[in-house]
Amino acid sequence: MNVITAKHLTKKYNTGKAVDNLTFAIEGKKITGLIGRNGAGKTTLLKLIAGFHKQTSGELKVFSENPFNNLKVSSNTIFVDEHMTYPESLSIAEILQFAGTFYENWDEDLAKRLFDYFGFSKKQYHSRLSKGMRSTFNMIIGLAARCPLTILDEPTSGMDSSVRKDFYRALLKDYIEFPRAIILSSHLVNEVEDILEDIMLMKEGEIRLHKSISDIKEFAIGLQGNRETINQFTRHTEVLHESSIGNSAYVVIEKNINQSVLQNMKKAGIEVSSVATEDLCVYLTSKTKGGIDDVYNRG
Amino acid sequence: MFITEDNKIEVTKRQYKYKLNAYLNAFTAMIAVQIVALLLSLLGVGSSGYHSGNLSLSLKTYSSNFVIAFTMMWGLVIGITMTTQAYRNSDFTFVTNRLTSNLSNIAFLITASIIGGLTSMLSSNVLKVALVFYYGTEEIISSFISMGEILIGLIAAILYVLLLTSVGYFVGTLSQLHSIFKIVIPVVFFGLLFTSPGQDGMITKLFQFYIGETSLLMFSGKVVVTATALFIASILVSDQLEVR
Repeated sequence: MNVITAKHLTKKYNTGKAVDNLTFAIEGKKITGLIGRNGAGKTTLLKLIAGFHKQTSGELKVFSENPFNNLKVSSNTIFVDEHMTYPESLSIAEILQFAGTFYENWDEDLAKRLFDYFGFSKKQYHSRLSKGMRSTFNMIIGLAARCPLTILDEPTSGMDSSVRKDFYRALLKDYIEFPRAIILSSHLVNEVEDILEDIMLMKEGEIRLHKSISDIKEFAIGLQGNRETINQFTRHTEVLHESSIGNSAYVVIEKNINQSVLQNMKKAGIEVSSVATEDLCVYLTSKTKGGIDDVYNRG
Repeated sequence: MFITEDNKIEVTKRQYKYKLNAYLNAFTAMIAVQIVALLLSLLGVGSSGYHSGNLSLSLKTYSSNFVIAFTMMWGLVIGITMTTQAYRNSDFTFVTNRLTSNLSNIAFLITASIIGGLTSMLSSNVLKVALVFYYGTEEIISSFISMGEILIGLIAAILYVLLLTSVGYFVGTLSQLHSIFKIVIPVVFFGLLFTSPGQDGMITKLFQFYIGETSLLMFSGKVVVTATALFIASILVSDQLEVR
């Protein structure tokens, strides 16, 4: 069953379209990674899904209902980001206690154990925590709420690397114990790659790619060799990325080419390699084919 | 797997409990405001003197009206504060929609009005005790207040605070909608206060509409209708507001 379906979903702000004509579906009980560069529209999309913001046009359904201002969607969703605010007069232990009253599936035991593990003390106040500790605390709420739809918008910002590793491990274990739809937005693909099942890649408000992680690993190939030789082969195919030093070039194309063509390439001395997910995401979301190199290539 | 019903009343109750605990510091502020008002009241609200031959009489009047007025201002500020972005966003950290968020805010403001009205009414006793300590019993003429009068005073005080919280809440909600209201509302307010030279401005007439009412029943009716209208208007106005 699909937890989220969107048809021609568009969100305009005064400054332009943040989310542009998206059509997609996200299944329940899956961890989906929402990957994209800064300003690609990830947060806007997530806020639309959580019902905080209202779409300009198109259709969006979460649990088969329009999420904006919807109590049912709110009851089944938790939105974790670095801007989560709590009343300043409550200590973090009290916040946890109240959070528990709002969620049907709240796991108090888990919350307490995570609280102790990460070294929080009951009398601390959220506003006085460091940025990383705040993110960690928000994450505890996000996990313990066990909402059928858990949205984590760049949840690891400010965390140190060991906490980050702990977090991803906790997320995975918790997901296995209590499967649910989790959307995790990040711009660090290599960190989250191992726990994701699906990747949704956003670029300038549009979805560039929405595939399972295994499909993405098979999506593209890299060609390394003489520039002229490669150009002969890639003249009629879409080039996802290219960089060159002197005569030698590295070109990334989609893998759906003929096996015989592939054989010919190898015969012509072109090295064919697979492309790391992280690199592919960078290529697919970059504004120009050559990346930052283009800025410096004035010739 | 997920909860299908959306129980507005249940969620409102949870939000209300959460707010009562979270915004307890509003009442600390109220106590501070009332103490300041009490200290000012100790100076007396009016004085007069008579001299005739070798007889000199000076009369000083004390009343706790200051406390009620200050508590009303506190109510206005609390009403506005509840609508600020930080407060609204911390509602939306957990389960809510705009309606339950507003309803629990209103329930909190009604509670605040009752506590504010009650304490400011009772503060007159504190004032009396303080004056007895200062002057001794001989120099004080205390007007006798019957239980009925206390009750009337109590209801009026609560309603005055409630009226101001509802005004604050509505003004705050409008300001959240568009920042231009933050300028327009004060300008309109002071503008209407001084519109007609030599005469009472519209705002003064508006004040008279409430303050000049001598019947408790009519006064209660006016305040309840106004506050309800302002709260409903706030709910309607903020229903499509984007949050977080």
